[in-house]
Amino acid sequence: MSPAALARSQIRLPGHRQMALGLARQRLAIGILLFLAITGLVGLRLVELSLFDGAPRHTGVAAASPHLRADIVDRNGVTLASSFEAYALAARPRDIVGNKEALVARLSEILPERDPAQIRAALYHDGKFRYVTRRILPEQAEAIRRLGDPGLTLEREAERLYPHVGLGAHLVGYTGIDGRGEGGIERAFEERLTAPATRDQPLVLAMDVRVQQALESELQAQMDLQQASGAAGVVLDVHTGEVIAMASLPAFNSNRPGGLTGMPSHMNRATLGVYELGSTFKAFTIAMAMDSGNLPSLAERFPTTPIAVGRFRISDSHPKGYPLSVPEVLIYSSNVGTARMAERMGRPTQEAFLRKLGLMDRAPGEILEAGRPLAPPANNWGLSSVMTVGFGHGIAVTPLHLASAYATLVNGGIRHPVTFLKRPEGAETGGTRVFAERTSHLLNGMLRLAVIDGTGRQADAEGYRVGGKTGTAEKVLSNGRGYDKRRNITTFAGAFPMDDPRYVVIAMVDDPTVGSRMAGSVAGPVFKRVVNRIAPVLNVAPDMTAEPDVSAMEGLYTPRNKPKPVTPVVTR
Amino acid sequence: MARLMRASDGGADYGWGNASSRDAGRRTWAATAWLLAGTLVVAVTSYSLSLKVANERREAERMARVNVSLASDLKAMDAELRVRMRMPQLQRWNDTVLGMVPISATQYLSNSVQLADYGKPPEMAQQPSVQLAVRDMAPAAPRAVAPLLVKAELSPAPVPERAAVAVQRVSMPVAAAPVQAAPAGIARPVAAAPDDLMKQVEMTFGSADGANH
Repeated sequence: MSPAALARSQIRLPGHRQMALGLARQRLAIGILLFLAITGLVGLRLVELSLFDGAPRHTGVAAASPHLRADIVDRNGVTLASSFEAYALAARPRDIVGNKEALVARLSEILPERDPAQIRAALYHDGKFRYVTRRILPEQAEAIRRLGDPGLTLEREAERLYPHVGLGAHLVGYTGIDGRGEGGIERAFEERLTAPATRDQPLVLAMDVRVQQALESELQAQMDLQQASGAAGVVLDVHTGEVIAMASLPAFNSNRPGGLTGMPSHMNRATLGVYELGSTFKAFTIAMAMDSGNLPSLAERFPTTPIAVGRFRISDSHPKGYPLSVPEVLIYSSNVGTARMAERMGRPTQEAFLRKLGLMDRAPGEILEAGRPLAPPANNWGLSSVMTVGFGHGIAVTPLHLASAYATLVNGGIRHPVTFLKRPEGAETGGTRVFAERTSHLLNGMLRLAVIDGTGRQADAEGYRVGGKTGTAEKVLSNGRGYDKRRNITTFAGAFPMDDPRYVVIAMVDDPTVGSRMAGSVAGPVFKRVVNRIAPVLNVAPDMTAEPDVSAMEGLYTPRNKPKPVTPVVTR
Repeated sequence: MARLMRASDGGADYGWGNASSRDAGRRTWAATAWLLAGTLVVAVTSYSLSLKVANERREAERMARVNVSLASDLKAMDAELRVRMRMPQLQRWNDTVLGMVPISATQYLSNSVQLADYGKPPEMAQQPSVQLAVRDMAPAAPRAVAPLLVKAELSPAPVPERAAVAVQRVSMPVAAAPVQAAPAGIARPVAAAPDDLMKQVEMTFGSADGANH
């Protein structure tokens, strides 16, 4: 080795080697550190997962909420509608393996309520996909799944169950085949019932099932008895505007609403059907006349001789033959008397009051099936219209309109917005004053007298101090020209207890054909029986000694019988 | 890795003595061994921890699933019960079997005098030592203290069966008569109404106090 070469290698070797070694150690250390770091990271992540990543994430079916659509409950929490899981069975005919006839036989065994011909039709169908049946139970679905045919598909879907079947069918509504609300509350509150944020909370209605049942069964009984074509009823809380019950008959089974919504049974007669409710309007006319200063004295007497206005002739159906005082006009239901009062106050006052009472707007409340009243057209609201509207003809409103207006009349003159939902305890209802308190007070007495001594005697539920007014109106001929003298719509609108009214009850029977066709003996007894049944439920105690204050009417009417000793209770 | 380190160490000359170099090598080896063992322990512990967590989680999920299915069962049973005692059905029972009628206004008693006076047969007027009380037939508890009650059938007509009479009259000392059972007297035909049916109906219709406003 040359010295030069030796010198070079001597110079190079030690430093080189040291450097290489240092580098190796450094790399090794970095490698070890990295390994440690990764292990540590994994460990930390494990600790974090086990300690801080609490609840397991819910996936799909396992923990799906059972509330597919919010329940609907009545004011006491009784379920009116709730949702269940159900299945729909569909067939894909091209994918069916094996004998179709055998499959039809098996399916018919599992689904006995289904017509085999329809199952066969679905399985032999030309298309790709066809529903065989919907709303089948989980057990049936399981049995079908066990058949194992690839041509059969089971789809999960929600089924709506109405435990009370047809009770309050029009009010609660129903859901269509796709699970959307198609009537009543179900339709009006679709958003509220299905939104994920709110669907876990049941929707609380103002309705009370016990009251609803009493109202429906009594109306149905009268309908059957008199072979009427329909009936409607409303029970309304006069202080809160809550609808405690609302019935429309004939009803349908909400669980199987069936076919077209245009069927007579699907028509909500209480909110959508408008009727000329006749003499029940007389109470409004008297109140309007008193409030507008056109009736300074209750002792004023109105002649009952028939009036001829245009081509109409207005006469009384219970003629008395002598001039009637204001209370007597209501007690004996004098058309002529109220027509004269209406004439005196004139159209502007009448229209303004009707508007304030809400009788010119759509039916109140949240339900979307709200009927629009038929009032005289603005360009034809002349004297004859003013007079006929005065006794409830020529204007058609829904029973719910009437209930709301009667509540306004009897509760001291304040109109509260009507609601189908339960108001929270002590909630502000936001009423507007329509009648003076004194007017309302006097009318309460007169309505009570109309029951004791007038046309509403058969509505007098003993002890409950009911007051109200009958209304018998002829039905409009189907060709729209004039009235059918043999077909009536009978109504009783009243409230109880009259010394401090709490509930308004409307009973309407449409076209009774057997027996009497006058409201006093058709709707009156229904009213009485309904009050007898619902008053204990609604915490109204009967009192044989209390009576509303009728001292202002003293001597202005002839009591029918010698009155039993009555101690007037001055309310408020 | 340790061998690698030792090999690299062994050949290295950092200016340390030979013995110290061997010591250093052993120390490094031991440190590495500790490191490895530590890592292993941490890894195994973490893994077992993770297993445990996974188990717990699976269990929790299973419970949630059971809960959901129980809730839906509960709902179904509740609905079945509701359907069975639906209002129209109760009405049908009442129309065909029970025949209950609403309480009439005269059956409401507002004070104890009326209560004492209610349905008083004329011959009782001569017996000042006993006072009449009217009680609802439903509660069975007071019957247990029967010895306190002077047993007396006060109805003039022979009463065949307890359930058949609307109002049971018992005479009792005045002190034991604060019973103000208000809605007395629901006329019930005894024959065809099974006990549980009656109970169910009573539960559903409730008492007047349960009524809302």
